[in-house]
Amino acid sequence: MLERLEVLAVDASVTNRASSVLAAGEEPLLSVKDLEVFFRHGRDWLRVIDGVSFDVAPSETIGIVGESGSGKTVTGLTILGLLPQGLARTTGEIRFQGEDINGLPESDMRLIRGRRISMIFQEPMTALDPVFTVGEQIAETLRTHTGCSPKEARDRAIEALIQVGISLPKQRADEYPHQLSGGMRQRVMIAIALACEPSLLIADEPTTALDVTIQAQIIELLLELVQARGTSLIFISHNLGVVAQCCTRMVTMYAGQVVESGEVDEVLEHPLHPYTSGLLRSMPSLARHGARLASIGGRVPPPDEMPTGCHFQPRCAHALPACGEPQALLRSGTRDVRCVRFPELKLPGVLA
Amino acid sequence: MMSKERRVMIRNRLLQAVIVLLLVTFFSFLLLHLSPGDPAVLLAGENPTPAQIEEIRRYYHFDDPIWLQYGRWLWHVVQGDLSKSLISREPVATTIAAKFPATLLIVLYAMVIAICVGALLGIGAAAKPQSWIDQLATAVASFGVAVPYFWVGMVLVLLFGLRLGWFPATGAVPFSEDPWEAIRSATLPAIALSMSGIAEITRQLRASLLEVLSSHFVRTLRAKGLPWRAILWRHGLKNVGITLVTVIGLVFNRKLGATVIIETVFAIPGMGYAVSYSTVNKDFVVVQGVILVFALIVVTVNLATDLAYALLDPRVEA
Amino acid sequence: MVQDTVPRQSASREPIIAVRDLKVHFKVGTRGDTVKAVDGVSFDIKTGETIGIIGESGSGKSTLARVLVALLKPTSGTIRQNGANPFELSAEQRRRLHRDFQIIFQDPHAALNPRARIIDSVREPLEIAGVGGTKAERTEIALTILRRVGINAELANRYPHELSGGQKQRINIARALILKPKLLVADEATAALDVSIQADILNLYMDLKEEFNLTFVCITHDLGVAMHVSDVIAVMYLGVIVEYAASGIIHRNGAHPYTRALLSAEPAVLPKRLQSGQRIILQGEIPSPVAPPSGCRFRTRCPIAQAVCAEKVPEFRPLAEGHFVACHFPLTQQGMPS
Repeated sequence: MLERLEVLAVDASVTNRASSVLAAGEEPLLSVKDLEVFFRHGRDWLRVIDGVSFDVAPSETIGIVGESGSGKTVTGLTILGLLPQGLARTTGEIRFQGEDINGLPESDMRLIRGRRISMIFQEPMTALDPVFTVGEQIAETLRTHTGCSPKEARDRAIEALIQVGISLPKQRADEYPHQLSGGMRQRVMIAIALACEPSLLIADEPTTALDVTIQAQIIELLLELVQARGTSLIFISHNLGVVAQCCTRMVTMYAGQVVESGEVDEVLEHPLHPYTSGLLRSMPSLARHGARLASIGGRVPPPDEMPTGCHFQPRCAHALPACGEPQALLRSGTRDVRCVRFPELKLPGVLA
Repeated sequence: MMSKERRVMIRNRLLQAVIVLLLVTFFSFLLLHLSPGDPAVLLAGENPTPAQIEEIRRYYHFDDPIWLQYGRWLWHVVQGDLSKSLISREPVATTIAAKFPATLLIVLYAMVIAICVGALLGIGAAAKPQSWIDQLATAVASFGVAVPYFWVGMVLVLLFGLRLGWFPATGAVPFSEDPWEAIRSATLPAIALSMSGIAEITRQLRASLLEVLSSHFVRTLRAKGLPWRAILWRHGLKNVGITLVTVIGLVFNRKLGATVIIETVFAIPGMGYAVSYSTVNKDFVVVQGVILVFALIVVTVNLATDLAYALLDPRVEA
Repeated sequence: MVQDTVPRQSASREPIIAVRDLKVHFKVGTRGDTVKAVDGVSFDIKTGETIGIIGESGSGKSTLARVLVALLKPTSGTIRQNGANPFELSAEQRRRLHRDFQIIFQDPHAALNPRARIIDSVREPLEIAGVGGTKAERTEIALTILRRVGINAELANRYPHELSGGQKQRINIARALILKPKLLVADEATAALDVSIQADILNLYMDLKEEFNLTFVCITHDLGVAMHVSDVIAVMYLGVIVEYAASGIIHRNGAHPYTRALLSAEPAVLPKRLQSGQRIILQGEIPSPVAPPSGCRFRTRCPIAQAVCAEKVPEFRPLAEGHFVACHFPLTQQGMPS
């Protein structure tokens, strides 16, 4: 079985986050209901996101996991209205702090972006403007949203650099992105995102392009900052380990739909959806040294060839004729699952 | 404050410039001498005797090998002497000084037109792809490249100069005498001269700006909540600044060369016209002088462009 | 020396690859800087074993991979493939040796000629090597091996852009194996693939390893993958191997602080109650391979660095049977420095 690792602690350890479950009657910070996104495909509209619903409570970290083609990045972009205008259409509700922000005009969305909801992206190499200093790029956010003076903005930018753990902040503020390493650039991105103290931060694969040891630094930083400020965090990733570490709840996406959601530990040990189970069983590890990995077989269907019933049916070992019908997201206690067979299936999780 | 690398770069560039100047003047010298027509005959005037022709030939050392003649000319140049025109006997330096302002005026005027029009069209096209302004920009760019500018010049002379009389058809007024009139008479030639420049700048600016606007970092800027106009004007333009400067340098140099024909079409007494006139008449001293000045300007513009490049783009090291 | 202390099954068996004091330096930039990509590596690869080489950026693992298959000439040091140094052979002999030592790279798309059909790309090695008989016979061999990796004849007639990343990687594997090599290097071969596709490819590797009797070198930054497939693991940092041991020992008993940091940095897919309570978060950035720190290269980020670490380069020496470490203060099982 798995052994506990005895390791030498150096820094403040990343302690287990207490789960923040919604108190009765408390409004979720973000509530996505029946989100659908269509991309222009020649003359038609192609549906790429088909029924995404989940909630985020204040000060909660949730993970959205999925592989390529799952639609997790598109979901993140849609929340902030960042899809290319004219090429995308959305329906459904995105309720943020009580207000439906789906389809808001650009001028209103602008006031939310970077101020009440922020987003950080995957590629720190290309996510920053190469011809402006990093200090200037942080200050710009502050000036745009708070109207403070350039001097004040600069001071606050230097402070922000300190908060994200960049040493020699005054010097660094005058450097350009290409002079910084990947890890530092990502810290700058975090500084920009949190400068105006948003209530929600969306992180789209923020550590995927970084080395493992740098990844650990960035994740620890991110968690420290959101915990200290009470910011909610949506962590989008294909890396289940990172999600297991950081998040209290997780949402699994497959082929444009949410297929399962619930508390991370529960989902990992007792997945309710065959896709989640297959994903967990296919992760290589020392525990399974030399053993064959369970594989799911088949491929994610492209958006223009999506089955009308359960999207996972062609690859599912438990499929029945009933799965040919469009599947709704069913609720069971604190968990959601999009599978009619879930009450009877006993699916293996990570510990099986 | 200049780093060692930058000083080394400038020194190398200056050396390169000198070599370029030598090569350019040598090749023009060569071409002139290899072209048909005997300068001694041309200089001798009406009904020369063979003895007179021989006399002229000996006086000007036309019998010497080309490299010796070139060397002699070069030797005078480094001493600051551009010699005298074979035909007018006027010092070449004086001639150039007199004709330079007219050429400079139309070239600068053409640059202003090209940059303004090109920038408007290019930025507009990139900001609103597939819109009417994008299509207009593409049309203008194609037109500017396809249509010969001297033909455009001739049409402009015909229509606005002769028919409508809005602008003088030919000639130039020196700027020092009457600035307003000088600009007025330089308008038609400047427009004709600017044609290819407009096309080049529009196309380049549109392409670069489109590329920049589809970069990853623009998504970050939008996620920061920046308004579109800040993204376009502040970030977009700064990122294409380098390309723009390079293009402007290239366009300027091309305009210089084009003055040879434009000044002929519009009968402007500038350096371009002087070159074409002198070439036909084998007054190679004047030709060499003007070519040297042209080459100097081109080399300087290139060096300035490179320096601006290094200043504008923080990623360039030296 | 690794070779000297490893017990052998038979004294006459050569390791399939033996590397001694290997250094690969590149000159970069205008200032004459040297990137010391690989800076003194010595180890053996035993026939039939699977070795995982793990490291982050700047570790030199990809450069090492290329030297192992003689694609890159070392700046100094030696490499022996089956006893012969490929760089001392003639070009013709080296080419023939190439057939036995194959490599697969990270980007499945870039490895295939977009203008050639799959079947042509897979058949090509046979044509180049001049084996396999007539064109029809070679085509048959290619189809057989493609079937073996799960690509049917219909797909074999298509062009690369019509296939997925996972399928392309299988095709690359087929092409690498068609000449029946003895050793296969996979340089981050599954990094660009989704987890579920990766699982398929890893299963495939393990099956093929059995079937073709391969020695397998798995170069990766993903510890999960390395631990899963490898018998032994070499941990690299900034151009040198800092630890070498069987994968179980690396996991339970990793002696080098960097190994421990790597292991704890990669979070396990486990419920929180089973995750290790404390993590080692290394401070600072990975130093540049142009100017590695003096003494022990890891000292700038090492949680237990002492003064001697800056002065003396730690020797790569045996800690226990088959377990080698380059550290002045290797950690014991309880995580205490010895």
